[in-house]
Amino acid sequence: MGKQSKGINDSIIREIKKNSLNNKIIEKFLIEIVYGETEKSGGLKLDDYKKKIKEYSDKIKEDNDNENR
Amino acid sequence: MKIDKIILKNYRQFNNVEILFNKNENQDLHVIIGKNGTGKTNILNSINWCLYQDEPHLSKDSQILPVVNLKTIKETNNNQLQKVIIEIWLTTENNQTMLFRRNGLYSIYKDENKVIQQTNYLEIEYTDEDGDTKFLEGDDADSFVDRVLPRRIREFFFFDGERLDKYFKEASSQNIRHAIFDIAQIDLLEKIEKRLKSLSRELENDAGRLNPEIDNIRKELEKYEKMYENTTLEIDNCNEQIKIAKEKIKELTNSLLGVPDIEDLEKKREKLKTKIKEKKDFKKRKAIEKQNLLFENGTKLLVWDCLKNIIQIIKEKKDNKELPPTHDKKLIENTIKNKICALCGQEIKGDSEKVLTNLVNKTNIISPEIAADLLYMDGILNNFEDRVKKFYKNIKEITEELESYEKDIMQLEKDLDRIEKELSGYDIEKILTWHKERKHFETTLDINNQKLGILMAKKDSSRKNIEKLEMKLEDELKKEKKLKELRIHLDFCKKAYEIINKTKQNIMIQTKEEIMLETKKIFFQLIWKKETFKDIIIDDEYNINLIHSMGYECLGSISAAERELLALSFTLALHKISGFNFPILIDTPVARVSDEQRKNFGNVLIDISKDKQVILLFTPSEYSEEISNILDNKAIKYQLKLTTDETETKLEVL
Amino acid sequence: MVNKPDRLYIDLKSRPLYEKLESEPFFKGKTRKEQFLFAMAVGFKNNIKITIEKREGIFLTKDLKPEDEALINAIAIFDANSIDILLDKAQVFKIVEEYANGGIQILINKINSIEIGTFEKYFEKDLFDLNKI
Repeated sequence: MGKQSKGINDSIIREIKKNSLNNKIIEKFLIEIVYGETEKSGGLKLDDYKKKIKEYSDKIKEDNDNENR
Repeated sequence: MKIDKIILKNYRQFNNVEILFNKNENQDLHVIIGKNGTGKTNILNSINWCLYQDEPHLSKDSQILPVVNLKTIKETNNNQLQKVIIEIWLTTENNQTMLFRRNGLYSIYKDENKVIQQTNYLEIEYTDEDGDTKFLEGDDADSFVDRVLPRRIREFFFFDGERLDKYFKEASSQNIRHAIFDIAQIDLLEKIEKRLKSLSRELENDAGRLNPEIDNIRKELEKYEKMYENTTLEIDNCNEQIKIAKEKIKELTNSLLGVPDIEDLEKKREKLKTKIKEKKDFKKRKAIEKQNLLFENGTKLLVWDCLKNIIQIIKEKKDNKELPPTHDKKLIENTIKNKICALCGQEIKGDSEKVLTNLVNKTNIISPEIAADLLYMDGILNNFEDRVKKFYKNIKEITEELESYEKDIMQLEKDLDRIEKELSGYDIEKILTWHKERKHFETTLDINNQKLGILMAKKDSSRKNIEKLEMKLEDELKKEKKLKELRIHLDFCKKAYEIINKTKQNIMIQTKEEIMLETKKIFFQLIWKKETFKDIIIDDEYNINLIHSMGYECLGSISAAERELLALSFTLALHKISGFNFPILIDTPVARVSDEQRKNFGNVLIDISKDKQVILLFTPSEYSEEISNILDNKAIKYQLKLTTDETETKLEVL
Repeated sequence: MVNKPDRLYIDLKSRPLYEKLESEPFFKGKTRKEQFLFAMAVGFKNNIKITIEKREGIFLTKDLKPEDEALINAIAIFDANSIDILLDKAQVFKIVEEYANGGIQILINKINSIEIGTFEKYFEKDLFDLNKI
């Protein structure tokens, strides 16, 4: 409890994973965001979020297409 | 983590001081004693200055003074630069070393008594997991600091003892909430939440803007598709009607086959009847004409001889100039009698009378009345003559005409008879019904054929419209693709938000729980009155409650020491939960603790220092007997002493 | 000048004869005047004058058209063999009345002897026989 990796409380990461249920993509996205916010000074900008969302959404779409195929 | 040493160069009271923090056997407890003004608190400030470039605990005196050590300033020439350096040397639990070095370059303007900072930067040297030395500066260095000990929670690690006292006195629930918030990094989650929410909103607005057109097109498309469907049904219906009509027509035609065209015959019959009547009427009229002719002329013809005779007489008289009479007999007789001309009124004289008498004696003068009648008759009788002459011709003509009518009538009646013979024996009504029905179906067929044409056109037009709209929709759907994309993003965003939100709430609760439990553990571990208190609760409103063993809440009634202990327990709980295992540095830890309690507190501090480096800064008066008795053997003591000229402090290890 | 009588006369006895005349289509619809004149013509043609025993008016003088007067006058002149008869209209009338009186008898006799409706046919034949023109 309370262990920090890269400046983020592990419990946060754990909680995110738990709440993401099985959605690995959202999980990954959120973890990336969380790290992004702590790593850089000033954190991320809205555009960074937009880019990541697009990136991850495309991944979802890809997965869906693959599933459908 | 522990601090190995702190090096202060030119920093405030410290010209060049190194404080080594060696660990004792069992505990890592350090006591630095210094009077006020010796820079005791500035040690606390130096750590802040090094890591965070600020000095949150400056005394009033220090605030006036420059950062640069006075001695150094004294030894510096005007307009010279001096460096201020603070180094903090740390070792982690993993035996990795860290060095935080902040350099401040200052221009010394002695004449003006000004010290102006020129540069200020942080350098970090550390060994990573692999044992490699890494260097950081600038933003990277700041980030690193934030990972080692974030600014927001430093107040839980190095602080003034007064804080402990005040912690649960003033707005404690806010403090606690705030503390937990900081420890749990909720602000981070809240930032993410905010970002996601505003993105969601943006995306929603974009989607909304793309939507209405598609809605409209879809509605229109639906309309035309329905029209197409309905038209198709109507066409089917139409075709059905046409089929039926054709069948019926065929059926009826068959029935009527071999049957004389009754309708036609009937028509003919009627026509004949009409003609016959017509002819008969003409004939009748002619007959009357003839009759009249006969009557009229007959009257004259019967007396023709007489008429001829009279005509002759009149003609003779006219030829003889007796008609019209040249003299008026009566007039002359009167003239003779009166001897005055009846015409001009002149007297008759001499021979005139004789002439007149001779005239009267002529026997052929016709009386005027008779003359008038005769003349009148003349015209009329001559007219008779003309008519009579024409009479025979006319009669012949009329007779011929009558005969011709008669002939026609006979022929027509023959034809009529023939037709009637043809019609007899048939159920005329039935046949006429068939004809009527067939006519009806022929009409139906016509109408439906026409309708079909129109419906086909309508269907075609619908189809064209559908195609057009589908193309339009596709264009919009291409935008819709963007919309879909938007939607995916939006869903993603929303889901992410939900997760973060839930995470936040859970983390808050969890953290609160953990902190509560840890606080409780530490408190009961450290408290000297083991039986007095039963429980520590942090409620949903983040109020901390200390429960007396009797069951009541007693935070308000405990001693300063107990309160400070609770605060300390809480602080240490925060350390633990936060995962930042930084040393704890307290300035004047027991100043508000009563003498009796200082002992207890001292023991507590020793206890803590078994697992964590504890650095305490005391004033001499604070380091009273009660506490010094407890701490002396366990802690490493240092003393701060100002030089006589008060330009620097020297550290002495006791 | 003797004044024109205001009407022409038939014999009272002849009245039913004029009625009988109507049974023949040829005469039906003709005025009494027209019937009278026809009878007169028939009487003249057959040269039969019958004196009227008991006078009864049949039509008014004013109904006479110039044509009719011309006819009457002509017959009167022929009968009287003098144009002077014209001065005595009463006499003129008397002459034609007697002719008509005779003629009506002849007509009725004829009608009685033939099939109804055939008078016209016989008459027409008679006329054609008269064709002197």
